[in-house]
Amino acid sequence: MDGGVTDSGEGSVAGRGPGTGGITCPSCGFENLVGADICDNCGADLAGHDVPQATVTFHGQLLGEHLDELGAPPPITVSPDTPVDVVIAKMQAAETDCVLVMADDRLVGIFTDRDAVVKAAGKRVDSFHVRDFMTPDPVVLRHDDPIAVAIHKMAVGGFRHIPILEDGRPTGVVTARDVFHHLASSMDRASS
Amino acid sequence: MTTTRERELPTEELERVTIRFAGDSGDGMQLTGTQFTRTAAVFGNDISTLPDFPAEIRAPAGSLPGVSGFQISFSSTEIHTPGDAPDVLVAMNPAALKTNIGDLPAGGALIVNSDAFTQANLNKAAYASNPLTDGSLKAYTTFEIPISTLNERSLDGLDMTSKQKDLTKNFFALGIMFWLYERSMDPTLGWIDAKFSARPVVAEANKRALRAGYAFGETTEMFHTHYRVQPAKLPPGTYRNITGNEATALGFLAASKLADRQLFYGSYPITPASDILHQLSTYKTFGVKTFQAEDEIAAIGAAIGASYGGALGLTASSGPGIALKTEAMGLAVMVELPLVVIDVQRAGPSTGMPTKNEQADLLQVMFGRNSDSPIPIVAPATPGECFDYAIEAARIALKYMTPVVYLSDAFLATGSEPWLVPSVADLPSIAVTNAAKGEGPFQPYLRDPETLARPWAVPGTAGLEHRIGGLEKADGSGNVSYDPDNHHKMQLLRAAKVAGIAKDIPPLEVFGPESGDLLILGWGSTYGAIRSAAERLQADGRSVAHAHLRHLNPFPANTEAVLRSYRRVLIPEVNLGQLLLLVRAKYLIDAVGYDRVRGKPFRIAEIVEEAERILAEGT
Amino acid sequence: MTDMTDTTDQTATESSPAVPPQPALSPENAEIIALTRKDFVSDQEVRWCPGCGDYSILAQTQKVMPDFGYKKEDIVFISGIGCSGRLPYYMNTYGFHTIHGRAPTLATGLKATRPDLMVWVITGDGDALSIGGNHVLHSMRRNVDINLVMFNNRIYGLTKGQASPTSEFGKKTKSTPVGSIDTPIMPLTIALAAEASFVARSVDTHTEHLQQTLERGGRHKGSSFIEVLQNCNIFNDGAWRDFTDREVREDRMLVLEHGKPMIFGKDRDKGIRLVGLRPEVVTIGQDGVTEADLLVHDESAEDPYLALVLSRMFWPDFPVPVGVLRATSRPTHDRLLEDQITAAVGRSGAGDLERVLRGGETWTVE
Repeated sequence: MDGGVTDSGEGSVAGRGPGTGGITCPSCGFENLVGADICDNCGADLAGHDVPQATVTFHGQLLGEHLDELGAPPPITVSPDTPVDVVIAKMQAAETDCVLVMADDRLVGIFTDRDAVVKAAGKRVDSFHVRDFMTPDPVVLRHDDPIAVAIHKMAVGGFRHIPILEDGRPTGVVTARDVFHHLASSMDRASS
Repeated sequence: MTTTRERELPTEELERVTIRFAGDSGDGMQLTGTQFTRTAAVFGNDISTLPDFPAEIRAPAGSLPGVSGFQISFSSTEIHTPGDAPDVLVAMNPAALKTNIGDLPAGGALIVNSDAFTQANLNKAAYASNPLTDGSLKAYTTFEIPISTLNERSLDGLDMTSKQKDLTKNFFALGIMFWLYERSMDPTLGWIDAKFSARPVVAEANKRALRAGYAFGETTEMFHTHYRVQPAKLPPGTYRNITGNEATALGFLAASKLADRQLFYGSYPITPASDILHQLSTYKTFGVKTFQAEDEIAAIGAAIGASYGGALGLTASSGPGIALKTEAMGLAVMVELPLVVIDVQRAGPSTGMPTKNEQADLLQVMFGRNSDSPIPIVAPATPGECFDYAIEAARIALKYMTPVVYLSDAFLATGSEPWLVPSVADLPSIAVTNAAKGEGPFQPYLRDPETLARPWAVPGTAGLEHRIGGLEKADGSGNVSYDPDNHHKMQLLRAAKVAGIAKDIPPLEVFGPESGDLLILGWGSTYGAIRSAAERLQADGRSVAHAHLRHLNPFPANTEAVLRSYRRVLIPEVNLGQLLLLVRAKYLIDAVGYDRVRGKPFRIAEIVEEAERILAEGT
Repeated sequence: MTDMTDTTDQTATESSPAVPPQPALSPENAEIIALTRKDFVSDQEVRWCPGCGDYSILAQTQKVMPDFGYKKEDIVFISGIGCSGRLPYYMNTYGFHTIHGRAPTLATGLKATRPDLMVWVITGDGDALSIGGNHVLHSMRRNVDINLVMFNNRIYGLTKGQASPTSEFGKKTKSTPVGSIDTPIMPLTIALAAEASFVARSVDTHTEHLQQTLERGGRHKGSSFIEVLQNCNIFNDGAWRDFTDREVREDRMLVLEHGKPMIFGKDRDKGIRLVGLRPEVVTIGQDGVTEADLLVHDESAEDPYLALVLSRMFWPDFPVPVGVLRATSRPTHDRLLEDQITAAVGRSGAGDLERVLRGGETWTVE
């Protein structure tokens, strides 16, 4: 069962050969009809070769590398009853776009620049506490989770910040910006 | 060929070996398997193969549904099956190991490509721990070979990327197996040169990989023996390897030539019959017209229309498609035109398991039409017989002016065996003549006294203008008739016509004693396992014979006499007892069935066991 | 039972479209003894209900057969199930009464292997558009060289009165006693959507027009779809009478003529013009409308836009177009099949069975 039909010539399909718009066998170069499972000439399996492939190294990096790699700095934390204007001032001073809200040693919420614009702007920020405008129970990840997981969660959930926990304590916040930087430098490395 | 050290390795002679190659779809297992088959065939072994294609069209690399396998059994004696279980499993990645290890008996040999056992691949195969290290493989003799690495190394210096080099590792694996079983590399080397002439670098790489694998086998300390399987004593002649579907297509092509009729093939794509359409579509130089219809019904409708015009009309499908065709098959019965309907059976009911084997459409094609609507049925037993019975089906259709069902199945369709190529001159003519103008008005239903066939008056023949159709006809004149006695008479005539074919087909043959304790009766692709089982039982001194029906309607004239010559009759079937039902009903013989409907062919051992069980029961 | 084959209401009042006389189709026309209508009448007693429109259609079909120049034995009638399905029995040619909806499939297989035959497919609105819809679609798009005549009586007659795919919304029948809830389809739009290369409509009792239409369809090389509005006087009497009746047909039907502006009416003073994508009925001479403003019929336009517009026009909103909506040309199915065979043989020579049996790889056992 080695493509015997085509050998005899009798059973050849007209128009085969280079440039007929089919799938080229990576082994022998024969042009097969699109979607062929096995090369008509040499019998090589074609099933593994016409599926879209990710740029292998790149893909591997995202799956293999951990969030540690992104080097997120230690987060700014506040307590839930901190007034919002104080929180915003802290964010401005530290030039950060988010703070983590901790109650005792537990992470209870996250407040970002988006919350400031969408929820707090136009209100009397000094008369509200951060607990009123924070996003409670944010999605979190571990420091050794793959970067790909963070990308997935951000894409599905529509947010840009994910706190990282180690032994239940936040050690940093992974932001979309960090991910983009990492991707950009990875692409640079992959193409060179 | 030079070796780095001379080793006197013992060579063990074996009567038969079964190897299963398994890997990812992209690993080239089909190619490896067919190359090994070729080499074994050229060497002179009898061979039997069973490919195992992935269930999905495209599965992610390394995943379980993407595993592709190929089992080949080769022997110094005549064999009939691809082997109950492999002696050696070659697993190119963890997923292949996972899906196939269950079939390797304890003590069997396992060769793995250790390079592929990475964490990522283990995850994809849902292995919690690495089987190579966690002791789960201790029942087998395992050979861990870093095939990918060794292969890449052997291609040092060649202008190819890593990925391209990796594609040749199946030749490395093949080389190991060639060494292990003392096969010459020459046929494959020659084949590589021919097929890769457009890519000399790849050709060189494949050859190096093959040689490197062979050399590895020779020099490594892993293997303590290699094996020899002597050539078998096959009847002399020219052979080729053939699958059932190939033989079916060739058979109907030949039939059309032997009948001197244009072949018109109407069909609709369906697994596992689509390859017949693909192959027949390449026979334009023979004037074969293939037609991919809009649905199953249009496919058979077009075939009937072609037959009406004097061609040999042919259509093929699998179970679900046959179900759609039944009304049209009834029309063919009523208008008594020649037509062959191929059913390449697969596991059902409904969509079932499209790529898996079953032989459960017998009752459907026997009865599945309104009213008493008899149709002759033939069923080849091996891939090679698919050729002969295509001609037989066409012969009956033309001679008796009737639709005929040709029952094949997924196992026959894709399995292969060596086939003694017939010479065209040795094939029988099956031509029939069209009706010609005679005396008096034409009577489209005036039957031939011997065959009860009506005359074939083809449009374009002057003076024979007549109308046919699905309504009941008057005997002789063919006019539409509602006369009660006429209908009774016509029902009996149609039944008699089909029953009368029994005088025109060979008697049922028996393998073994002409009478005895047990007859194992089968049909279709169970032939190999039943024959092998009968051989074993006979070798063990049991009074057991094997008979295999190729004509299922009508049965050969001596069938009852044969069945009554044994104390018990066992009918193993890959269905829930369909031939069993027919035999019991027709002959009132207390036959028993053995049903296994697992989507796979029978194992020889299970038929032997069941036969022993029945023999032990006594009469 | 009276033989209704000579309907007496032939009034040749409508103008016949100007179609020049065409040569006979069969190459040996010079030597054929001229056939007449009588040659095509079979010995079977015609069993349609008295007053059925099918009698007229049968008569015009028999009258038209000799004109093609085909030998009698080279003509085949294939029918489906329905009252229309009986027609082959009444034609003295080769005939095949097949199963419901599947006649086009048999015709396709027959034409593919016997392109020398002239093949007519006789069907009805149920047979062609309900169970047979798929096969009409594909036989038309393949351009199988068949002449498909669909007798549309807006009902299932043979099975005694159920709604059909062309029955009006709300139609009360045995199967829809409180009214059909299905929107009817328009057969000519379907035919055009199926890429039929010849699409036409006529009426059972408009005998001369029907003859001419059948003749044009028969001569057309490629898939011809001819809708014949037919009256079932038992189960759906008068379905089309509102516009086919002798008194009103000139004002309510539009006889299409290739190359001529679309004019109708007893006084030939009404016309059709296109406003945007829609047709509009106008009176010539009113509101400054002149003949120059009217749509000119072009049956040979490659694209189907005009024909599609015509296919949507129906009474009472519009006069019902009859005649040839479309007559275009492209290679037929049997021609294309045959060409591939010829090309293959030209490239590789006639097939060698011995060689093909051996396939690519053989080995010999001594």
